[in-house]
Amino acid sequence: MAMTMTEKLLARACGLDSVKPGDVISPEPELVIMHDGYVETAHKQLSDIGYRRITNAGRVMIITDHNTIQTTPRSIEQSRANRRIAAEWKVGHFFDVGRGGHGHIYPMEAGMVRPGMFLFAYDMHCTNFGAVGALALRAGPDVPMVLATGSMWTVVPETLRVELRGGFAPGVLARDLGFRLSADLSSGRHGLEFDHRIVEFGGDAVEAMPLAERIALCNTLTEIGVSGVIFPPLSPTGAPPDGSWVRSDDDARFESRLELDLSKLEPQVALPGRPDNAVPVGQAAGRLVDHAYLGSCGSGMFEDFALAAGIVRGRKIADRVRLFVVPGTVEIARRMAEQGIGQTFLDAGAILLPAGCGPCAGGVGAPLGPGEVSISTAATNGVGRMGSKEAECYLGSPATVAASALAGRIVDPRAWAGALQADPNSTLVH
Amino acid sequence: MALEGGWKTRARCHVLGDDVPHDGGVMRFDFITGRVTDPALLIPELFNEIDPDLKTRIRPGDFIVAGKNFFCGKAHNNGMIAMKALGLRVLCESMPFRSFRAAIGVALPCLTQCKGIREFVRDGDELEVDFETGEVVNLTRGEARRYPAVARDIKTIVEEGGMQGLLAKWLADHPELATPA
Repeated sequence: MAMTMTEKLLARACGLDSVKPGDVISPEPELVIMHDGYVETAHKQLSDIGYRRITNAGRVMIITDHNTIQTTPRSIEQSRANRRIAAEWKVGHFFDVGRGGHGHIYPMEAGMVRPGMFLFAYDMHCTNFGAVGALALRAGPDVPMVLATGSMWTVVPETLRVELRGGFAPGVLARDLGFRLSADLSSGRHGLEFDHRIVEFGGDAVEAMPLAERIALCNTLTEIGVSGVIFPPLSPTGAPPDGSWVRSDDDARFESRLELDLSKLEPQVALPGRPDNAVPVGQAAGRLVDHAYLGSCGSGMFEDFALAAGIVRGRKIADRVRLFVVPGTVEIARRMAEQGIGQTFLDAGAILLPAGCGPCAGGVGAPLGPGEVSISTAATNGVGRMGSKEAECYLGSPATVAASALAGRIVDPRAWAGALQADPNSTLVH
Repeated sequence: MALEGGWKTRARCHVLGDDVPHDGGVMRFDFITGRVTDPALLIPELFNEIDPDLKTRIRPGDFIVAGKNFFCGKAHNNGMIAMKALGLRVLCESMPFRSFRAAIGVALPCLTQCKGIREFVRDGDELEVDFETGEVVNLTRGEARRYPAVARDIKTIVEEGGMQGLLAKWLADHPELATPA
């Protein structure tokens, strides 16, 4: 029976020959990831019922990426509790603050999430793992079920196949496509269902697409309610293909198909409120900004910072702006230091924060005050997301954020395309 | 375990529109951020944001009929807890999957593929609904339609009491999990 990648991965995780959309299943994950913000809650839920241990603890990863700057009594208490719970449950993989990094990036960098894997994770942005050809489904508040039983129910989703053709114009990045496609799906422009769908990317442009761009494409779609984003297999560590890698069959059934020409896209900005409030950058250009931030699960890869550094190198950020840089992982931070990218940001007047989510996780390390305006590469921009409910959060690509931080207002990054092309570290240049 | 009242019941229905959000619609937002989970506190606030009088018309066991995208927005469950405590049941044209998962997690019976249901159901009508077959009979108007029934596995989860019930049952079946690792 012909199947999509997703159906193959779910069937394998269920020990079945095949599954089809609509089937209610309980797949067994190879890995279960939970960030630092939910460990106490999950532990309390299970302890209150009488659980003193969890099933398949060796497959569980607790990773500290939200609360990376522990400056309040509560945050210190939470951090201590997480260490205690990780030891009590004997989880297989515990990453304290300052260790691995972002839970949606580090596991790929470390080779712990590989092509062909199926996993559950607490947080919905686990869809990032589709970038290497793995399938991760959000467990959310049901994660205690996975911890207790080793699985949980889900429904096999339908798949929307998106064929990407052509290449991005200079100054246009994968985050721009993510904003635009999310907006066009959620507004109904394409007339396609997307709730609890897997968006599977394919086509000529995808085969050549590096990991950082694939990750960027996973990010915004997740916010509109898709259950997963998936790409053909790509090893994040350079490991050769093995028998676990899967691709969709040529005659697999997709609920719907969409073809997009990348060359027609222009830079996008998501207006405050929702990450799919996308407009061409020109419609937001000129808005004065107080705060800018590079990083998050959508734009926290080394290549994202190398690209932004190409724009800020030798320049100063505007006096009115504070720019925060949050590497996705400790290793990315180390590479940035080694290759002078950290220095470039410091010379420009930016502030480097610890690896992790950064201010996207409720303002950690760089909150916004009332009336302030931010432009960032955060995953989302709902009211109050980064501090004050009276602040405005715009989203853009790393190029748009870097250029806007220099200008002190939202600008079209294509004006800086020369800087991008001149920078040998900018591997995302097109 | 069995669902209280069984899967086939008769009750009055209350009809809502499309895109009713959980947060700020079914339940006031500050009760969500305040992590209020006590049904006694939640029930007086149910649906106040969309119709302050609705709670005075709702009786335990009633059906909530909604349009597309019911419980949209973040998949919080505070309002669902109140609905479950009142024994309410949901019939809607569609529901985001994350919200459906949350609703099943609190064992709230839902039929989520009732396309066009508001064409033959009006606010206050008396319905008889069999979740096991998907048959919805409008007793007030003498019309009936059939929709996709609740999936067998989902039915079992609801009967077991949602996530809490399943976790308790799993522990009873795996007593070693009650001892430290």
